[in-house]
Amino acid sequence: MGESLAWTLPGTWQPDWRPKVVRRDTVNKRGDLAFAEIGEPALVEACLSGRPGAFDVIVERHRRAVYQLCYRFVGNHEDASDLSQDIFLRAYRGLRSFRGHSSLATWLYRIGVNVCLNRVSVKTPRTESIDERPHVDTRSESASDRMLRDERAARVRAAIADLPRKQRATLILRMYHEMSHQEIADVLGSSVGAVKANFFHALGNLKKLLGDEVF
Amino acid sequence: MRHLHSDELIDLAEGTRLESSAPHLRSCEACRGQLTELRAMMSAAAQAEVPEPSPLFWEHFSARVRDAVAADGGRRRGALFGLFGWSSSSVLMPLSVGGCAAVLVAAALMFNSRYMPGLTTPPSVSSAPAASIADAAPMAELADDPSLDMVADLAAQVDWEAAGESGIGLRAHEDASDKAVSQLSDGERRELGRLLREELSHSTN
Repeated sequence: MGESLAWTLPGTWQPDWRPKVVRRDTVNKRGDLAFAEIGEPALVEACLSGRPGAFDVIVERHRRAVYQLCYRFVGNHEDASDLSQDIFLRAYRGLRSFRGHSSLATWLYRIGVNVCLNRVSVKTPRTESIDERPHVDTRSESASDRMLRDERAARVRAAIADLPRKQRATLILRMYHEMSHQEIADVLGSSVGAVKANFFHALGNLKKLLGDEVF
Repeated sequence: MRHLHSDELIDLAEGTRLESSAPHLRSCEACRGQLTELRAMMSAAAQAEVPEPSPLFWEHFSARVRDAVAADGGRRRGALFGLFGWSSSSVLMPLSVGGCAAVLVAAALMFNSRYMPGLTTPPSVSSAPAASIADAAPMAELADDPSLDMVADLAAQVDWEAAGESGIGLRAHEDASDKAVSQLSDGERRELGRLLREELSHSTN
């Protein structure tokens, strides 16, 4: 509460809201050391020329971000896992169409958003229950703080998963994947103005869905 | 009094626009309230981290993707080239040329059978209904089809350099023919094999 009150003071707020997508997958454990350090264009080229292990490196570099994207769309681990696998399979099939105009991550997000939007349109998201939520390692927190934080986070994730599709996609890409409005517009096939409007409405609907419960 | 638009509020909430550049905020409680709510929602959303799966999950996930890619590659190769018993991805180019060859050979044989003296019988067109084609035998059975082996042999004998020099221009369309062959259903491939066999029997009689 104190934090949000501070934002009412003109000029005092700093844009520190954006979380980072955690990327810990930098090392290939299958002995493909030759690929571990090379850049994206060379890695894609290696994949296209059929070099074993090259695509594994792409998967290992991007799997966490792709999984997180899916998780935020569908709100549960099981579907997020299946969708992530589907995204990488589609990426593999379509790798030849990757031109390098955007980063590989942005290209994967584009595939991911399409896969998630299509899946979401035919399947009602099944958000996780309290019991099935994976364990988060937060040993420095007290048990009660951790429980409270987990519950808030679960409610917010569930509310995000209930947003209309484009609003959800916009909010997820903007908040969690550091994409600019223009990049999101490219992914969603819309304009920057539409992206900002979607983001605005997404946050407004989030407020309606959550009420005052997370503050 | 004009209230701030949604995009202006978003720019202010994200900090890409200074509040000092929106003097309206100072006099409008409604817009100020909206801005506060936007920032509060951003903060709430930012705290909703995705739970980290167990390390084992990532190992399994990579293995699953690897298996799925391998299975998909196998299916695709099977759909494209399994009829001929080829499986290595390193022969994709010759195989795509082989696909072109099959189409060319079929066209040439049909042309010969129509215009060679004594061959007045038109090639019979399958009277099988679409449903029966769709229900055709799976790929494993097709692989044993001797007519398709014959097509493969004929394709391998085509002189592609000569074909290119003759202006057929197949090299420029390898991808297109590759796609055309790959998009045939199992039933269509079976039907193509039957037609080729039929045409070959006409031309050799």
